[in-house]
Amino acid sequence: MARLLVIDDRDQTVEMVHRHLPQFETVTRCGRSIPCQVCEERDRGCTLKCAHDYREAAEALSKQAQLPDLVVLDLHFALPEEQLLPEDKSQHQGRRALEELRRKQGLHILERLRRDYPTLPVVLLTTTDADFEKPQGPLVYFCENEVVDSRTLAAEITRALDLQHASQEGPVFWGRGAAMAALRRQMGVLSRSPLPVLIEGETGTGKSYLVEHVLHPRSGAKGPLVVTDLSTIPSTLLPAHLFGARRGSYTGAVEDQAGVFEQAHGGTLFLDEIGNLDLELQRQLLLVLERGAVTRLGDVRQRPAAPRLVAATNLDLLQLVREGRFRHDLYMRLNPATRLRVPPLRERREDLPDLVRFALLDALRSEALRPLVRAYLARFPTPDDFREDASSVVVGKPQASRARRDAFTVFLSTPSLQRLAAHDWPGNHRELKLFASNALVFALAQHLDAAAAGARDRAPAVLSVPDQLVDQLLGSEAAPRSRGDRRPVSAVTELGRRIEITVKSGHSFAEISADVERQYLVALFQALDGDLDRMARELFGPGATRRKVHLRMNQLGLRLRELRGTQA
Amino acid sequence: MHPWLSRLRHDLVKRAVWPARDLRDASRDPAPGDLLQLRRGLFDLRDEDGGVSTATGLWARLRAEAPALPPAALDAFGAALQRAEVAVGGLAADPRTWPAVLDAVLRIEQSFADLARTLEEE
Repeated sequence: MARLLVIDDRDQTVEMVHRHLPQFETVTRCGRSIPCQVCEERDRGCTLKCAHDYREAAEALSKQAQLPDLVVLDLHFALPEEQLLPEDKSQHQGRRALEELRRKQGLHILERLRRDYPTLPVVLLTTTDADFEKPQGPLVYFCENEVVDSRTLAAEITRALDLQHASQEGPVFWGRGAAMAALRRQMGVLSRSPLPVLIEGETGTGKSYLVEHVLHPRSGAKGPLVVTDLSTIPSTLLPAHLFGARRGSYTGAVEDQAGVFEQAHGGTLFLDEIGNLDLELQRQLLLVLERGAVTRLGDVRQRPAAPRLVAATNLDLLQLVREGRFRHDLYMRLNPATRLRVPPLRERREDLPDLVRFALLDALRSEALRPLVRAYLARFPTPDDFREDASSVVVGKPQASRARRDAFTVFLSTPSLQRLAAHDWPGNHRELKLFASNALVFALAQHLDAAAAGARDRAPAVLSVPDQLVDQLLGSEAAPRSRGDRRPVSAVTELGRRIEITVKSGHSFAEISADVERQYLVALFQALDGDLDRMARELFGPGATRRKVHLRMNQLGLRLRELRGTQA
Repeated sequence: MHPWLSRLRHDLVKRAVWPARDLRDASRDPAPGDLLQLRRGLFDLRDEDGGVSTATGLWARLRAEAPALPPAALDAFGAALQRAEVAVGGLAADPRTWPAVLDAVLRIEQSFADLARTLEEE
């Protein structure tokens, strides 16, 4: 049942919702002593009352363990001056200005809600002839009809909730941006097509996730989904991995092995990082695609292998074609006319508050954090009905009164959320996921350490992510920096190459090692003007190919395109 | 919309008409709560200061602040309110008269539309 918070200067709207719209639950229940005189409850003293101004709304929201599904906000508030927003009325002096403030008070309340509760959807009860510029926002819905009866109100609430729910589909959060909406439409069409699909997108944007949860399930294919990341398989093993091998066909082939093409026959084959394939494998791949059959290494028999191919890359394939590093015929076979683009997180700023929330909740449920969560729950007494799956994220200061008693409540301050929404997330979802896990590890460990040091008992389920921690985690990002923020250029001395490397404290040895390697690769890339062949020779010795460098950079989350941009 | 009309609609018309529209849409005989709502829509209104007022009482205050409008247009709206109040007031004595009461209350909406049109023409 959808939960609503009504903010209106009169109780009529909430009374009507209560009386005529049992499909909704109103969350504002206060201990009003005056009988509300509207319904069957009148003799028992109905306690239903809406929030009459922003102060009451904030108070009502602070009492809720979870935010309501929707706020129903009126536009006109006939209230005494002291109850109106903004608090400073120096710009609204005089009777006429105050009257205007009352007529558009809903806009001021909306602005405050956007600031303090950025993930809360709001339907604004406007009139059809409203004479103001409607504030734009993905979580703000305006009435299409004037609400003067419960049926219209129900329709407007339902419409807003439908639009709100449309952003989420099963495990996929499509969000509210135009790029994701376009991607969703395209995927809806292409999932029914048997033709290959090419997906472009930066690393960590969720390309494989979309194939797994949207393209393949919707294709109706009877065969399985087989996922292969071509950047993680050594080049010598790739032919056998792709096309299969007969026992004894090469050293280590101890038994017959089906390649991924065969395994995915009748289903979907997802080849991630297809731009990493060398030209010979591209030729073989093209043959398999054209024949719909594959011959295992060391075998002569052809076997059916006709999966629906989905290929993904974070490289510019067309550029690779121009440079002669990707076959034009294979490129055309990948159906580039309908290629999909998954936008990076920095182009989905409107969705970031929700994405941060999901990432924190996912991290809290993840296997990786399980031991720490168990240790935490063992240390702090929790009720028998404690439900970890009901955890929530609240934006605001940590308060026991705003936390659930029976589940974790993660508190994140408004400035921190704003900082996270403004961050560029070069590693996209992968980076966000890491951030969420790190934040919770620190938060849980901090509470455990405080308890060990004899700090007084605290509400067990309140977890706060301090602003300082957010700053620290975002400041220690390991991905390449943006244009104009170049690292010190390396210098070659008699003793060798000399570069300046920053090592952050508080990280594990593995993290620091990876970070050092990353910084070294970036510095070398800059020093050698982006010449990957020279880098390969310097790093791995004579005869080493650029592919090896590229592979390692990929593994470390370094994007060539971005490095080249920084270089320009 | 003119600020005065906006206030009239917010403070008075919307309050009176909402329960009447709901009752019309319900397609059933009214429950005691429905009739109570109708009554509250005309006799339990709030003025700007939060004080309780009736529809005609509130109208008297609002009329004093009305923009330049022909007195006949204002009188017509006031008369519609009065008829609705009388009709609703009689409900307690004979609840079976509710369809006529409903008509009388819904006519306030039409009178408001007439008033708005007149103001626009003026």
